[in-house]
Amino acid sequence: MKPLLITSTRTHAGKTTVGLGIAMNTDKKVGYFKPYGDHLVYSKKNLVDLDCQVYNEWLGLEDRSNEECCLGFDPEKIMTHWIPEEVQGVLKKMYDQLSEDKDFMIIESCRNFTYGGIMGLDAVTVAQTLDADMILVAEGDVDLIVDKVLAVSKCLENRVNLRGVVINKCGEGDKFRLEDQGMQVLMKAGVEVLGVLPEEVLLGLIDIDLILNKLNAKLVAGTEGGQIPVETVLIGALTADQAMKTAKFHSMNKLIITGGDRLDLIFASLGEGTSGIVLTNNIIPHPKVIAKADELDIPVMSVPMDTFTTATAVHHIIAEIRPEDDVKKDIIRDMAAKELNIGKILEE
Amino acid sequence: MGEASVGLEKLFNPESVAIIGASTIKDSIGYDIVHNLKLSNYRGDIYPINPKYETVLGDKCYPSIGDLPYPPDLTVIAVPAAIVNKVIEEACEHGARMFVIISSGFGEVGRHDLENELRAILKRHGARALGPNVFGIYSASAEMNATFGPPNVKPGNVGLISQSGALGVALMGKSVTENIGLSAVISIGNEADITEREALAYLGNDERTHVIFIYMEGCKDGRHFMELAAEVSKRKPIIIIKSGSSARGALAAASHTGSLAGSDKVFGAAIKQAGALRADSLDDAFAWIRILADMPLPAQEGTVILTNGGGVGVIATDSAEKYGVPLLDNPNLLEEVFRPSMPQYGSTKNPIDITGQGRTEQYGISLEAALKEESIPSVVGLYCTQATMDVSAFAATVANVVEKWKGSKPLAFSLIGGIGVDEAIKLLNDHSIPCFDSPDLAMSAMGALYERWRWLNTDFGSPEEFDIDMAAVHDIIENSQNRGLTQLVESDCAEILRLTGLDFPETRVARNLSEALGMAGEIGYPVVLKILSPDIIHKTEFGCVRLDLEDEHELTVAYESIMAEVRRRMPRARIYGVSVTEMVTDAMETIIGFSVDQSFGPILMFGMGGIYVEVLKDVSFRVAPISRLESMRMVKDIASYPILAGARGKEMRDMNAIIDAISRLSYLAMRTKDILELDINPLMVLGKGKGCKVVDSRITIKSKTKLRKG
Repeated sequence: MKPLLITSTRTHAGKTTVGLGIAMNTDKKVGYFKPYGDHLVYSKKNLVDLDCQVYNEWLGLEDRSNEECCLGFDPEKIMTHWIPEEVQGVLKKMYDQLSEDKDFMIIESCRNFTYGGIMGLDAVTVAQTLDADMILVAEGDVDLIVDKVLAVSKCLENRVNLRGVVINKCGEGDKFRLEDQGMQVLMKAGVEVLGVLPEEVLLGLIDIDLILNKLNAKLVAGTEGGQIPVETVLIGALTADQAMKTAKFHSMNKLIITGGDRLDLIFASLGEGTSGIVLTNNIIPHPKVIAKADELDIPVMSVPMDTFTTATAVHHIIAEIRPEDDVKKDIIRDMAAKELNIGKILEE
Repeated sequence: MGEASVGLEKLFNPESVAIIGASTIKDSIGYDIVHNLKLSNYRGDIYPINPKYETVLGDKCYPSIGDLPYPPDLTVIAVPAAIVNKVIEEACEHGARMFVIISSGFGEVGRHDLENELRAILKRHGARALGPNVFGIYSASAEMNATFGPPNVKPGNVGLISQSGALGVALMGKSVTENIGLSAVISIGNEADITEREALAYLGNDERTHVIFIYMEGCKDGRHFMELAAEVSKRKPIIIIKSGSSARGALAAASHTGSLAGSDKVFGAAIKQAGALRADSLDDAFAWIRILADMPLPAQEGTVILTNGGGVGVIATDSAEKYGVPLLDNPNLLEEVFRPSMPQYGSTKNPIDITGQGRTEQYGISLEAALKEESIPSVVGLYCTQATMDVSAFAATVANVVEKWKGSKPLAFSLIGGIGVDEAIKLLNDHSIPCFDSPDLAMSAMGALYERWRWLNTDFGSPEEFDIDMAAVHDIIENSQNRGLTQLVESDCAEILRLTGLDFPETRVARNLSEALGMAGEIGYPVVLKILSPDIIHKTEFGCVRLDLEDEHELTVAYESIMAEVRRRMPRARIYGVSVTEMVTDAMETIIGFSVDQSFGPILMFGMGGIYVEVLKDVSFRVAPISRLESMRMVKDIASYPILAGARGKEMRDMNAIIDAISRLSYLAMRTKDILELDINPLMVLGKGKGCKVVDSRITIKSKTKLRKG
């Protein structure tokens, strides 16, 4: 079976979710290749792509080094190692090794449809080199999605076979408009809609471990590894008295971001409903506060940045899928089984 | 008289005192001041002034200052704030030149305009003023109590300076109940004119004052205060209570005096450097006053505890350790000195315990033996009520014995028990034998005495001179200022520190991966890779530092990861390349630097790095400049010093290198006004003789950017 290259109209559209959904709903032996990495994890002086790790773990694929799974994460590194003419050859060689005993391969492009073109690692070039069919994942405003999908399909004409499009993170209102208008336009243009995945709140939630990692924060109290979800983010600007009068302060799964010298607010936050506390400006509070947080096992993290920078950084954190996310694994598998036309996708 | 206290003689020894706002209404301020003046047997002329009255407390009351037969030496103002300046102007026109302004309602409530106007009036007439917002002035030499505090102050040798009005009055009252004699009480108030520095300078030169006690909430111009305190401390002890050490306390203090409390740790370090003793409580302060006023300094370390109860002896032993009072540890000597007078069952191990069955006479003999023996530098005597030892008889015996050996060595006593103990404590204190109701307080007092003794016997040395190209340093700073930077880029930080004489691991700057690989090969693995960007300050937190890269593969992976992180986190950051640095191994992380405090100027900091500084906050501070000797003491001050000194079989670190680094930073700090903060974290300290290396640094400079007017 021909490999499937999954790309998207924009970054974080859900390529990995769709790919995993497909892979977990077939008996076929599936392999995975991501030529140009972006979800980097630097650990013990090694660099791996997080998506590779997830595929390896969830599909039981053999552990391979980064050099075997990916040409690189940085254009400079790739272009230093290989001259442009060599890249396609390297790509094929890697693909051959990874697909050796597999029934079919899922290839994931980096970021979006066009990214990597400078090195010949964009979605179209990779698909052509590896003779792959393409699945496009689209997410966002329905009108814009349809426009982009149509543009991509025109771009692919006579170059790469577009198997179809998967619309991801589709809210109820969007789904209605899609079914009412968008679908017909796409069908008329010859673009098959292979599935519409709903907006799944749990998949979009960030958690404390992710925040700890993305902020490179120091854990000064509590423990990590609990995958404690964060649904609300509060900046601790009010005094404790005033903050406690607000409804948001009493919401569950909240993250408090405040200066480490705001003892009143920190103490008030150490209770049920708080997923974690981020202390800014490298100010570590009194040991009694740390001890209290430890006692309640509420993660308290310290960062050197100011509160505004920290809050902005947290705001920009995108939820990830990690190898240990068993809950997300089940959600993705079940959602894909229900909403994707797996048969059509895997048609020879 | 010192320069700072020029012209204060009429404040402390006036021949006449006028009180504007005098009153016949009992318990009013205008009444109390006149009343206290008369009660204190003031020898000079007293002139109550108030158009409402003809007499006040038997003295003729004048309608205005112009009606006085001659200008008064000292004028006390106790009228509403709104008319104070007018009154002072009038008084100056009639020749008055020294004022004590009791009135409140000036800067402490935001009326800085009134204070500015007051200053202008004083300047115009060459006059001086204490206050406003004070409770008055007491001077034993003039037998003058021109305060509205307690009337029956005992003259003595302790000078009190207070920034708080109410607390100052209360402290005066406490000195009466504690039977501590005062040489002067100066209420500083808002310091519109006369400052606490001038007050300190005066008391420092006053022969009558043997001990100075200061209550402070804020410290304006801390550096000059510290310098003066250091000078005065050489002659007499200074005890300071400074409030505002807690965050809430600082807020309360700020609203009270209208001044910022400032960093308390910095203040603590500065005061200690200046030889002043900082008390955490009023009990401690008064205990220290007593012992410092009445006892000689010891000849050396080695305190003997003499007790009639084992338990209280143990308590005192614990307290001795807490307060830095080393106990004499010479079993043979102690056996020889005390066995003859000891009951058979007594112990001659320090604490010397004659036990609860010992008799008063035995205690007296043991005490005399301790006082007589030259090898015993100091004694802390403990008593707890026993059937065999009446407390009154005990106190009388002690008083008799000490009288014979008065001045030979410092002593402190603690008496615990029920009936009669308070009287016994009073008896000993009346005999100028420091006596307290707890062994902890007695030991605290002895600790203060020894702290002073150590400071007086410390050689502080002089700050070292270095041959540093300061012009080059200033050029680097100016270039960055012209580029609008307030944080120097790493290469500029490194250059300034190199010019300062600090050592670095070998470092090269690479513009791309190929260059980085080449340079790593030249330097030799392992290496460290760091991003070079003026926009990324917290490199480690941003994932832009990779350590211990052992070969080309690891370096390539590290480079890739750094660039990917930067693109993800700060896509618009200016990237100048990466630095490739020799990895320093087998070294200890320390942190060193300085920051400029508003009040004290450059403050040096040293501590162990990593978690020791961030969580444990194990750092020591000094006000620059300091000598090498003081740098060494700074290093020894940190709790984790034993780790540097080679605990658990580990090699000792290169102390000379640390001291050299601190001394050089001290020199640099004093010679540039444009560096606001300099942090070296970490400074890796290698084994003895192998030096230390700067691994990361940060320099914050003053901005030259001016806001545009809209």
